[in-house]
Amino acid sequence: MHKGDTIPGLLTAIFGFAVALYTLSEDTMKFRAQSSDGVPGAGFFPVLLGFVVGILGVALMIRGLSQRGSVQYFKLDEELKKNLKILVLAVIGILVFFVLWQTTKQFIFCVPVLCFFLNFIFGRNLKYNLIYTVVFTVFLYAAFVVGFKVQFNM
Amino acid sequence: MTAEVWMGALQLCLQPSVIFFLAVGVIIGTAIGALPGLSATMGIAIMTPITFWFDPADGFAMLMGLWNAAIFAGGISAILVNTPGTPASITQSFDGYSLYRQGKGGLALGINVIYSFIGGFFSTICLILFSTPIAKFTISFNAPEYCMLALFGLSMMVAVSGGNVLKGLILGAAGILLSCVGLDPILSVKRFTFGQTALLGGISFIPVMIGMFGIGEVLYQIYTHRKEEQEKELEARKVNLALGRVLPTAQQAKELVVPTMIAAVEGTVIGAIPAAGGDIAAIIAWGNGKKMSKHPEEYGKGSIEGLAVSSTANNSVIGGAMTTMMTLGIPGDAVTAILIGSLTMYGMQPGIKMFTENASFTAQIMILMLLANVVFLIFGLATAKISAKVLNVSQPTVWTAVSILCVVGSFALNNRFFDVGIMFIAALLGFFFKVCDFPTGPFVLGLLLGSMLESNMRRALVMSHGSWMTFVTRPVSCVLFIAIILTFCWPLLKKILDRRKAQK
Repeated sequence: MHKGDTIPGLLTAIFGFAVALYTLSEDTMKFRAQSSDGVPGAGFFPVLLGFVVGILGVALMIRGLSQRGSVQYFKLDEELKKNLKILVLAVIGILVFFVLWQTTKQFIFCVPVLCFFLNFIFGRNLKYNLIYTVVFTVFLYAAFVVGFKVQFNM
Repeated sequence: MTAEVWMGALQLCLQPSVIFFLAVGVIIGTAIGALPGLSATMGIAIMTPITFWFDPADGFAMLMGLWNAAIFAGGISAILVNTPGTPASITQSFDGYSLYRQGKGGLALGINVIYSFIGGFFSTICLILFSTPIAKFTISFNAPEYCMLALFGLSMMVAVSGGNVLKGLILGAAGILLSCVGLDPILSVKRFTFGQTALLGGISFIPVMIGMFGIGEVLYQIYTHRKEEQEKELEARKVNLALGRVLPTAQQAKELVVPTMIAAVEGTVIGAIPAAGGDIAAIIAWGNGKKMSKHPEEYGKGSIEGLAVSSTANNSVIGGAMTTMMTLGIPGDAVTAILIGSLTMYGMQPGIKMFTENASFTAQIMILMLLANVVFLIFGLATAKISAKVLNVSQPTVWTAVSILCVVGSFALNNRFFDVGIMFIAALLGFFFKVCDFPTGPFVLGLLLGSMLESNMRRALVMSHGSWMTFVTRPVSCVLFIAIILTFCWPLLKKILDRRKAQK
């Protein structure tokens, strides 16, 4: 049931129908413009495409069910499980970096933290990691802060 | 465009700063193209926001150098480690790697450089010759034609869905849906902005591309990383077979004239078809080259002709894609999709205005493409034997750098953290699309062409007082409409034809 295209199809269908229903519930986004010609309004495309995405999502879900598990996208062996752990850590690391950057407003001090963390979870040795972090941070500072004058600390 | 415009543009392109940025673009492009997993699209997506800090000519010089060099350099890893550096180099690994194993690695690298140059140069000449007449033809276009043109571009999502039409259609529709975010193009009604001022202008295209092709690709590579395979690859890199001579003999070059010219034409035409990229061109050209060759049995086993045909075809796509992009505003591939976003940031709109109001800059872009080919030819031949060193960079080194550069690039666009958020969401989406086997091409097409489709469709209907017949009563619009129907019906027709063939 949960294998193959079933879940992606279900999520797509929910997304499509949700967009269509939300648009229909909004007063400002009418399907037809309020003119005598009855030409499409602001809600025409969102409703139409919402339903198209929803219906295609249902079709995908049905296809997923009919595949009976012959297609699997998240079949995890030991190595993939390990990779998934690294991936989740990388995503969390980037998110934490965003929070740090926005709270401290010190981009150039947060970059080495992210750089070091990513290299660490990718299994690089300490010496390499330290050199990489310093060189890369200096490069970013020289090129973007000094060179292009990007205002990272806004 | 007059001779004066061309001369002025040439003068600007020969300025030292432009040549410098072109050379920098070629060096970066060569490194990006040679490294498996880094594509020209990723390179252009990351570098585009950075070029906004330069003069437009310098910025475009860098992008043109990067793009042309990345496509050619994709062949380096295809030849030396049997792994295409970019999707467009897939067929180069068929013959290139066999040549390398036979001790003719230098010749394979040389052929890759020379015939990539020939393909790129030929297609740029086609761009110069044909873009002005095509652009002039579009003067007669009005809202119905532009609507049909956008729809035609979108219909190509069927072709680029890689055999997964249903998923392609879903993502194409989702892309158009995403383009609806922001102010309505006709009535200026807020749509899906949820009180966010930053969303009034819609979802920025470039951060989405950076996320999807940058961090999204990195996340996918982390997820699918196989240590055993990487070790094998590292072993292959250590082999270091003799490379031998780089240039082909006069006799070999003579024999390659006809097949590579055919490949150049095929590549240019395929490149001009919306969303058909270098990989499709290279596969078709390689297949046709094999059919027409005097030695088809050598194809796939180290054929010089096969490698030359592939190298010509994948680089000739660039000029074709640029023709469609500059004249019609329809992306020929993912890179031209980003370039459209880039031109918009410079306040330019692809189409006839590029050839009237911005004629000088348009001529500069074309000359830069020619120069980019010349620069990568010189650079490629001079460094053919040492280019293999680029392959020693490990994947994790690249992952960290790409992840941080994506953050920097998306922020530098507008100095806005909001774009970084959009980029990161697009990255996660891009990862899930790849894992669940959703083709990303249609999504890019939908997002880029969605607003063009909607605004022109609604404008056409307002002008015709709500009559849908306006789309079929105008000749150009009607022809495009028939082409769209045929494109959507093609998979079904193909199935029926294949079934009949099988029955016979």
